Amino acid sequence: MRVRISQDAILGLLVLVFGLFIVLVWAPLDSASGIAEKVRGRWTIGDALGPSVAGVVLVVSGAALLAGALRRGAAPAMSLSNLRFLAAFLGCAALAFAVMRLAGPLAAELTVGDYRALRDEPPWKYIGFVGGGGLLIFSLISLVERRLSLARLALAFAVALALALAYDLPFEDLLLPPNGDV
Amino acid sequence: MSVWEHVQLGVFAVLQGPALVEIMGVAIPVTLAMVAFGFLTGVAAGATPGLAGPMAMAVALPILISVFGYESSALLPVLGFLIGVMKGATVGGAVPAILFNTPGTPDALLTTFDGYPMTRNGQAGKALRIAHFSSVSGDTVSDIALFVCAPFLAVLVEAHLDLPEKTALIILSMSFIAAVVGKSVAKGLIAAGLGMLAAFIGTGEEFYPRLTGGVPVLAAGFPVVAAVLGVLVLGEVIKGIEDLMRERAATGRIRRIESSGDNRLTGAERRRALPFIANSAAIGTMVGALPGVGSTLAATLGYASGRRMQERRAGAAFGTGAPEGVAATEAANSAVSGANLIPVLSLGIPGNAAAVFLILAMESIGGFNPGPAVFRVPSEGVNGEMVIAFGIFTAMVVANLLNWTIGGAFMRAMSMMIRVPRQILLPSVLLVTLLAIYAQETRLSALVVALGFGVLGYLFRRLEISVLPFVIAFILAGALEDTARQAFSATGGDPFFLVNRPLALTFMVLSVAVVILVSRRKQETVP
Repeated sequence: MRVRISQDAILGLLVLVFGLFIVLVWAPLDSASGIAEKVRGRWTIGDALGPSVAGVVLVVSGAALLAGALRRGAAPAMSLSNLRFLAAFLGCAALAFAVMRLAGPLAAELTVGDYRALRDEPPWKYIGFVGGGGLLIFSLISLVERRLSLARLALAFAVALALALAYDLPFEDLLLPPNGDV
Repeated sequence: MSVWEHVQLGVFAVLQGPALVEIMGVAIPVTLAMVAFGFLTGVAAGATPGLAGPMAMAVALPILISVFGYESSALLPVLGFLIGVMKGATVGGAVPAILFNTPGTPDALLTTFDGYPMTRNGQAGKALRIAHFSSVSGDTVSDIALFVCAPFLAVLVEAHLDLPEKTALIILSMSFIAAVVGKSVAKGLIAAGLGMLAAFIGTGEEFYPRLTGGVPVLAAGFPVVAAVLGVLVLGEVIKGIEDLMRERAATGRIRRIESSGDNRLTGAERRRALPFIANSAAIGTMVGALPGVGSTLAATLGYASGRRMQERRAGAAFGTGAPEGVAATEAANSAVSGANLIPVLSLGIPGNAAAVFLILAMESIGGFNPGPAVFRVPSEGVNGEMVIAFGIFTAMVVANLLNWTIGGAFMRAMSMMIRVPRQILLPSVLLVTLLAIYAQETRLSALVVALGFGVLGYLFRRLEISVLPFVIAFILAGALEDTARQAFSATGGDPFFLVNRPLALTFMVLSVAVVILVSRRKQETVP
């Protein structure tokens, strides 16, 4: 007979195991002091206590969720299509971040030289943000509409440029990404 | 210096503070201007489907801090803006619910029950007017409750609560929020446990940053702004984009909604609505004072109570386009906003997402530690924190005055915001949020962290886990650990300090009892 296990039961079990891992392994081994320590004759709370308490909360709540789900079951809340969407979203974000980080330095390298000296100068300081941000907006619009459109591409880059100018022109001290990193 | 003199200083700090600009020779104080900007921004954000007050506060906060800096003089302008957003969004939130049957937030769902039928009957303008009148009335009642209750509660707490009791009170607050928010107590506790764990990574008192596995990038802990904005805003945006994608796939198009005509609200209609407003304002204020319970329960209770009142009066039945139905809901959910600051100002405990951003602003800028000490009257000199607190109250009064005067007209004008296509709006909000995080952290790794927390927020929403216990546990975990350390030391290393003092024991018993009782009520063991 095939046994159906609800998502809540799996979630509860995972949380229970994770909580036990924190209490028994992670907190004690990855903290410099234990749950309580005697320092110069006085007892003090150690660094491991806080994470251990969090771990105990997870153990108890995971066990409660597991017990409840085994008793009654629960309708599935997530599906494979959710995970496929998440992967597509993260792909768009990763590509946009890469363009945001690399576009400015690459453009400078191919033309005038070192980007660091130019990162406060227009148009160089806008290249990364507008390139990466525009790509992020365009790719997500395309994901929703399931089509590529030149009009949407222009709109996405116009929105990114408008945001860059609205943010950069009135506030001298604020940095656009990625100019604080390069 | 007396309390009254502190009140005066607080009022002057807002009304006679440094000028932002001069208009025709009249200096406009910066805090006053920021409250007005915040209010208008909040109405626009509330009126835009897919946005909400906390989202606008989240995006604005890092930019405001970068602009105004970390001086204590930045506190009132920054808090003034955030308070303006909070109040503006409360009233603006009714717009999409009434005009387009699109509840941007769960509490606005009840506004659609009568607001949208009114729109279909050609009474959209009347519905918006009654929503504004009820919302601002409820909000004002709630603010008065805050002004009266917060100082007294703070004085009581300061007089009777020592370190062990304060530790137990933080535990009670976290346990209460985890239990009452969302559909499942176990899931609320999972969120709270994960929030605490995230807060403990890379922190601690020892030289070695705990739970980092020696990874240098984790040594300073997760940036608060990246974690909170990631879970609260990015998670919501990611889910919103997926919902839009599925809506389009299912219907072949993304729903667009048409506007409707305008109507006046007569004096007689206002008078008919007043008993419903008063009833719901009282319910919303009482519910709002409890951390984590929030505006959805207030709106539900206000609507249910109003429906019973209407049945006795033989007016138009609720759910068929009764103005009293809109009034009952809007007064109740708006009355939560002021009262929700009672635990913030008197205990330092945030009760909802908007309060989280007020606390974050206070913690980031410094110079104001919300909690019982705020309202301590000094034997001599000035308590600067009390002056700031009365400055915050003044900013709330200013926002309410704006709401009474220009709020209604601006709210109706903002009905155009629903024409912004959501498939363009949501990715733009995502980019603005990343920009705001970068303003404060100035490193791309913070954006990656924020995106990671955004994915966590998305998974929480898909798995029907409320994000609020996570955020509040993340914010309070540091205070909980610090207070516990001090209490442990102060009691001479007594491991039972939480249970061998009557008041602390009471709070601890309540912490367990609330979990058990609410679990039974929600049939937690048989979800």
